[in-house]
Parts: sequence; C-alpha cells; structure tokens
Amino acid sequence: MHETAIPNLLPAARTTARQAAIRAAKREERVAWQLAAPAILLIIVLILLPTLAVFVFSLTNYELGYDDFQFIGLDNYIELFADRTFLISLKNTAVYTAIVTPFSVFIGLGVALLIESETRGRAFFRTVYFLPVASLLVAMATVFQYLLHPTIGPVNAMLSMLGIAGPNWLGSSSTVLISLAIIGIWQSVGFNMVLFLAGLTAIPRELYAAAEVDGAKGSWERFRLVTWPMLGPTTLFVATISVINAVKVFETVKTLTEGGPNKASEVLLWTIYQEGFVYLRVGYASAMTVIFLAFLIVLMLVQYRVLDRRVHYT
Amino acid sequence: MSAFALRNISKSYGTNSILNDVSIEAEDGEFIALVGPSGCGKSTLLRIAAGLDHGDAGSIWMGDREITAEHPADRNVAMVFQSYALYPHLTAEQNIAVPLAMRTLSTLQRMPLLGRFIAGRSAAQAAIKQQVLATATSLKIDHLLDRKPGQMSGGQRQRVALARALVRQPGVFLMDEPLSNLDANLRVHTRAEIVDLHRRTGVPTIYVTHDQSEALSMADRVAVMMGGKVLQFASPAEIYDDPRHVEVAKFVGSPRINIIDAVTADNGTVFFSGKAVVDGITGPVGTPVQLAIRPERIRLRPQGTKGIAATVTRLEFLGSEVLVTTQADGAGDGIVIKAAPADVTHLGMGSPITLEIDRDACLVFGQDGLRVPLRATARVAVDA
Repeated sequence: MHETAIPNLLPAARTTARQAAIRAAKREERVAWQLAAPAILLIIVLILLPTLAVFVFSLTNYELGYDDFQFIGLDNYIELFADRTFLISLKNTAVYTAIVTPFSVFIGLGVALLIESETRGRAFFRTVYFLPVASLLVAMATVFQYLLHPTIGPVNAMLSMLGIAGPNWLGSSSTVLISLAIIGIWQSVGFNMVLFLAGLTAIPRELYAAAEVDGAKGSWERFRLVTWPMLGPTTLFVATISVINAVKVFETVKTLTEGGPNKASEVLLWTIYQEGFVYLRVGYASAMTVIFLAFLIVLMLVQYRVLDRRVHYT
Repeated sequence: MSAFALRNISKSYGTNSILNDVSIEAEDGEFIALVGPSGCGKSTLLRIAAGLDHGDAGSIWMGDREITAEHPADRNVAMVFQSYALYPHLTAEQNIAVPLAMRTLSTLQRMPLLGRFIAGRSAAQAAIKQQVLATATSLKIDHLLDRKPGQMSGGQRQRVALARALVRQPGVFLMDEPLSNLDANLRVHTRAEIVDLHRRTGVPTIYVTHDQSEALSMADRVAVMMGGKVLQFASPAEIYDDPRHVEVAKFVGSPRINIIDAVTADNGTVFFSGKAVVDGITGPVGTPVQLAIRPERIRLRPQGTKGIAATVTRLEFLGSEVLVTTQADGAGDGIVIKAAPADVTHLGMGSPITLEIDRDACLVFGQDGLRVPLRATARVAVDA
C-alpha cells in the first residue's frame, strides 16, 4: 500500500505548484493594472478624450453659443478643401516650416560646434544664444516690429547705408513670410544649440583621436567621419522638434501681421484661431485641427519609421 | 639609430608635472611595454607619440626623421585604443578601410554622391577592398566584415580595431591598454595573439598597460613609469631580478615582493630580526634601508634550523603553489613565501618555522628608493 501511494502523490504535488504559479501570475497582473491605473486614467481624460471630442466636433456644424447642432458627416472636410483661405494657410505653413526647420537646425548645429570648440566664454555664449528661447516671444515681437519697420527701423537704415532700399519687411506680401521665418529661426536656434551641445558631449573623445590617427587631418573630415554620424539621433530629434514648433507658429503672426497682408502670412494655427474663437465655428475649426494633427502624426511616423533605423547603429 | 624614439619628453599642466624628461626608444621589430600605475603618465606619453598631444619639451623621431611637429595623420603611426574607438555607423569592413581611404582617395573622391563620378575611384576602392580582406583574413575576422561594431562582441571589436591599425603598414604601432576591456580568459588568449601578430609584421610596438604580468610576458623591453618618470627601462628578466628602484621591485611580481625595514650596521651588514642577513652594503653605517626579497626566494625550514624564526599566520592554496604568510620579529606586515603544496602539508596556523634566505636573493634599497650596490667581496649571509 505504501509503495503505491508515493507515485500518486507526485502529480498532486505538481498541480499544487502549478496552481501557486498561476495565482502568483494573476496577482502580479492585478497589481500591475492597479499601479498603471492613474496614468491610464490621466491619459484617457487629458489626451484621448479631448482628441476624440475634437474629432466628433469636426463632424458637426456646432457653433459656440448655439444649443443645438447636427451631425453633417464629412461636410466640414469637403468645405475645407474648397476653402481658399485654408489652402493658402496650408501652403504658407509648409513654406514657413520649410524655411525655419533647416536653417534653425543647421545654424543651431554650427553654433553648438563653435561653442564646443572654444574653451573660453563657453557659458557666456551658451547663455546668450539661449536667451531668445527663454524670452517671451510676444514681448520680443514689439522689438522686431521696431527693427523691421520700413521707415524708422534700424535694419532698413543699415541697408540704405549700403545703398540698398530695404523692403517693407512685415508689410509687404512678398517678404512677410520670410520676415516671420527669420524671427522663428532667431527664436529656435538657441534651443537646438542646447540639444546639439548635449549630443556633442556624448561623443567619445577617443573617436576623434582615432580619426586623427587614421588620417582625418582637417576639421571637415573629422566632422564627416565622427561628428555628423554620431549626432544622427540628436539631429533627428532636433529636426522633429523644429518641424513641430514651426508648424505651430502663432504668436508672431497674431502680434505682428494678423495673417496679412492679403493672407500672405495666413498660417494653420491662425486660421484655426480665427474660425474657432473669432467666428465661433467650433465644428469647422475642429476639422482643421484634425487635419493639423494628422499632418503632425504623418511627419512623426515618417521621421521615426524611416530615419530612426538609419541613425541608431546598434 | 632606433626605429622610433621619444627623447627627453616633458609635459606639465600648470604646475602639475605629468612627464619629466622621459626617453624611450624602440628598435626595429621591438615590442616595448610602458607599464605603471594609473596616473603615471604612460597614456599621455603614448598620445604624445601619436601626435594627439604635445609635450612641452623633447623630440620624437621615426628613424632619422623628426616628427615632433607633424600631424598624427602624417606620422604614419597606428593606434589601438582601450575602447577600440570603432566608428559605430560603419561596418567592420568600412572601419578597417578608413585609414586607407583617407590616404589614397582624394577629398573629392570621398564625397558621398559626387565621388562616384571622379576618375580613378573605383580602381582605388577595389585595391582598398582587397587589402581590407587580406588583413581581415589574417586576423580571422573576414566573416564579420558586414557587421557593425554594435553587433560584435568585445573580442571581435578588438580584432577589428587591430585590423584597422594593421591595414596600412605603419611605422610604429601604439597600443593603449587594448586588452583591459576584455574578460580574463580572452585577455590571456589575445595577449599571445598580439605577440604573434607583432612577430609576423615586425612593426615596432609601444604597448601601454597597467598590468605588470602583461608587460613582462609580452615585451622585449619594459619601461616602468612612475610619477612621470621612467624608473627603469630594461628586459623583463632584468626588471624582475635586478630592479633599480624599490618602486619597480614593488610594482613588478605577484605576490608582491617582501619589503622589510632594516638598518645597516658596522661594515655594511644588514640585520633583520636580530640576524645579519646580508653584508657588503656600501655607504654609511646606521642608515635605514629597505630589504626586498621575492616570495619564491625564501625557503621554509623546520623550527630550530639555522635562519630566522617565524610563525605561520595564513595559508593560501592556489593550486600549483601555496602562499604562506609568516610573522617574524621586526618584519612589519609579515613575510609571504611561495612554496610547493607538498612542502607545507604539515603546516597550520601558528606553526613555528624557520626562514632561510640567500644572500643573493636580498635586494637592498636606500632611503631615496635606489638600489644600494653590494661589494663583490661580500660574505654569504645568515649567521645563526
């Protein structure tokens, strides 16, 4: 009797062990959900629900102040793509971004390289270049209004000393977008510089030593062989942030040009602001916001899916 | 004339002297090890040799050509770094090709897109590819050529770094602790491989390490550096058996050499534990000296035999040998003896024992750390 009892015990013991393992796993899962719950809740309430609300509004003709609204399907979107103002706004935003992003990225990189290679006054220059980032753009806009003023502005005064008749920077439809872009570049160079400086300090010094021994004599060759590839992830991040910030241009437009002259500085956020907060057409403004969001999401996907693989080497 | 020479190099940062009149030279085909504790200036010296750093004084010579002022790229030196310093965005093949591409292709030919249209590029590139493959094959890494450094193990990266240094025949090979990032097993293995490689290529090599056993086992000549000075520059056997400075004696050898504080008595005899251990010391009577004896040069004898009485305080079994720590009168921290396991089976903690020391095993150092020469006529030591 005793001998047969022992083999019978083994499966039972195994079952107990397995049940204990299952219970432990379930307990762990429960705790995990409990710990993650606050974050999940906040993401839903603060990010997902508002986005969903914007999307739902974009399918309605809701106007602020009216109690009643109807679902009108994709009518808002159809109207959008026939709306001349919106199309100009899209084009202007694209042009603005196409100017500001490369200039602010490469000037930021250049400034970072210069500061990095100079040991004296490094903190001073870093602070000076970072000042525009810390300053309030709305306040600084008044300074730019003065600087770029066609008659009393020092920029045109200097140009006339060289015998060049300066344009009406913010007042002419052919130069207004470039003027705004210059202000945008001025503001974002410092931020990009700080990011590049952080990226530069992460490059191992031995790589430069190896490059020198390997025959990279000039600084351009060392930049090509070491700095530029090693800064890949930083550059991708800086470019992404720069695009997002450029697409979001609003303060300078609001304070300096109000979209003018003749819609020449009409940009996406300004158009959305006008429709939503001036004409109170919440449904229509929401449709624009959805387009704006889609625009950003596509950009992010392109950058991270396509480029990310090419800048991380491990 | 030596193949590569560093002459009277000095270097200081502010008032902090890093290198003080250091001279090292390598003959053709010679393997030189620079060894010393961290902060002794050995890596700085290597960087100066490569041209990555500049000394305040002194000159650097490649044969009869002075290269002191030349750019690293023009010196025809190759360097292997502790961290390997491979370019992470390039494959092993491209990494190895960099020194060749930098030399044989013009700036225009190396341009990313435009370069393709410049004459002579494809022929030059084919030649580079062939050289890279030959070097990689000789180091047995030809199967890794498509991988990036991030996809390789430490040992493989190390070989790629060696290949990159080796691919163009350099005038001198500089290695900065190339093995210290490898695990212990691989280190001993790669040690032998580097020596083989050196023998095959015959390129004079300067090898920096803080590991004295690495230096002794690999080099033809060893320079022991401390505090920015070369204390001794000689063959490994001479460094070990005939150290010129007490710091050299202490730095080289494992377990560490026994150092005993002693005083010279009349006619230059050194007493230790009341026994005259060695005589024939030159110099004034009554000066404090340091007596240094290698652990394997002391023999254990039964209690009561002629020699120095001591007690066993610790036994460490190391397989092929046993380290016996003993305490004798006036010996400070204790004396370590390396013995064969069979000879110490009867010993335990507290066993009384006698130490027998040969006169010619005793190295005597003065207060300035320098060796005190013995008179040739000196009599054999250890009276009972």
